[in-house]
Amino acid sequence: MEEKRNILLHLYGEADSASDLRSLLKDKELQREHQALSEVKFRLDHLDPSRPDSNTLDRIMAHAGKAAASTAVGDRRGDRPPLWRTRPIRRVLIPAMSIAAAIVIAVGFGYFSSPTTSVNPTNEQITAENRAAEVESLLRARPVAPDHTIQSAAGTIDPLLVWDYAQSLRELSRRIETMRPLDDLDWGARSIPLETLPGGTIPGILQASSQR
Amino acid sequence: MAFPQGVKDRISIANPSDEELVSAYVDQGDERAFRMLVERHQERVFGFLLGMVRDRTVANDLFQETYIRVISALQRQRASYAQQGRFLGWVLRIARNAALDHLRTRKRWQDVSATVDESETSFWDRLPDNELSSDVVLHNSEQESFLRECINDLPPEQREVLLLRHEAELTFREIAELTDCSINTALGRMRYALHNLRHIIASSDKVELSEFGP
Repeated sequence: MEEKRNILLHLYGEADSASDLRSLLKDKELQREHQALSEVKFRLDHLDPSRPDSNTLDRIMAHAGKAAASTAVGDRRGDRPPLWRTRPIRRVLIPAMSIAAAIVIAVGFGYFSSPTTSVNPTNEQITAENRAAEVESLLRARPVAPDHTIQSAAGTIDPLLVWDYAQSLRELSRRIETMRPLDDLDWGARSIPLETLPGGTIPGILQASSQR
Repeated sequence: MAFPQGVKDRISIANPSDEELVSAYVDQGDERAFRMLVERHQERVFGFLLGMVRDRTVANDLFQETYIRVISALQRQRASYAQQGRFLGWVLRIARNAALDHLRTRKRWQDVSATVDESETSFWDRLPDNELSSDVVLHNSEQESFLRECINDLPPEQREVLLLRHEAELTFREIAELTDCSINTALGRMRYALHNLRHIIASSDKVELSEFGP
C-alpha cells in the first residue's frame, strides 16, 4: 500500500527522487497502477480552467474599493494600539515614583537643613556649647581664694578692675565702703518683735490684725 | 544565478508576490494590487468551489462571498493571514468553509423537501445522460462536461482532495493541513478518487481513456 502511495507522489511530482520510480515500476502490479492513474490524471490535467463571471469580479472589486476608501491610510495605521498601552505598568509607574521620591527627599532636606527650622544643632553650635560647658566646669572646679588673700591683694592692688573705671562703679564702690562700718548685724542675736523697731514718719510695719 | 539589485527590483515589480500585493492593498489601498491578486488565483479558487457545489451560479456567489470575507479580514487585521502564511492556502480555507456552510444549508433543505430518498437511487442512475450533458452550459466540450459530472459523483472526501489537487493545485501536504487529516489519508483518498473516476469513464462509452493516455 505504501508503494502505491509513492506511485501517486511520483505521478504528481512530489516524491523526493526519481530513481525510486524506476525501481517501483519493475513490479508489474505497480506498473499497472501507475499506468491506470496516469491515464486519469492526463484527462484531469486537460480540463479547461473555470473562471468566475466578470460581474462577480466587478462586485468584488467594488467592495474592495469601498473598503479601502472607508479606511484611509492614516486611519488604518492608527488602528494599531499605541505601544505605551502594551507596556507593563511598572515601566511607567516606577520611574514616576522614583522622581516623586527624589523631589520629596530634596525638599525635605532643604527644609530641615535651613538655620531657622533646624531641629538638630549644627557643628558650630555644638562646639560653642561644649566650650561654654568646659569654661563653666573649670570655673566651678577652681578653688576659691581665702579672704585674707583677697584683702592683702586689695591692699596692694586697686580693688577695681582695670576695665571697670567708670564713674558709676567708682561711686558704688565708695558707698559700699562707707556702709560697711554701719553693718553691725548680729546674726546670732535673739529675735525682737517687729513693733519695737522704730517706724519714723513712715507708718512702718503694722500687725496683720490691726485695723487702719 | 545572482541578479543585481536593480534587476531584482524589476522582477519584483513585474511579478510581485502575493505578500507584496497584500501589503500594497492593505497599507496603501491599492485596488489594482488586489485585482491582480484575485485574478491570479481565480481559476484555482473558482474551480474548487464549482467542483464542490456543482452549480455555476452558486459557485459565483460563494466566490464573491469568499473574497468579501478576505477583504473584511484584511481590513480588520492581517493576523489570520500572517499566521496562515501562504495567501492561496488561506483563501482556499475561507472558500472551503463557505462551501461547506452552503452544502450544510442545502442538505437541510433537501432533508425537508426531498420526495425521493437519494439513497434509493443507485450510483449509475445518477450519472448524467445525453440530455443533461447537452443542457449544461459550459465552455468545455461534451467529454469535459462528462468528466466533470463524473467528478461530481465521487464521494465528498475523494472529490474534495481531487479538486484541491487539480483545481487549487495544492500539494498533498497542504491538502492534509487544510482538511485536517494525515498526508497518507489524503493520498489514499486521491488514489481511490482516481480509480473510481477511471472505473466510471471506462464503464461509459463516451470517453475512451486509451486515446487520451499520456
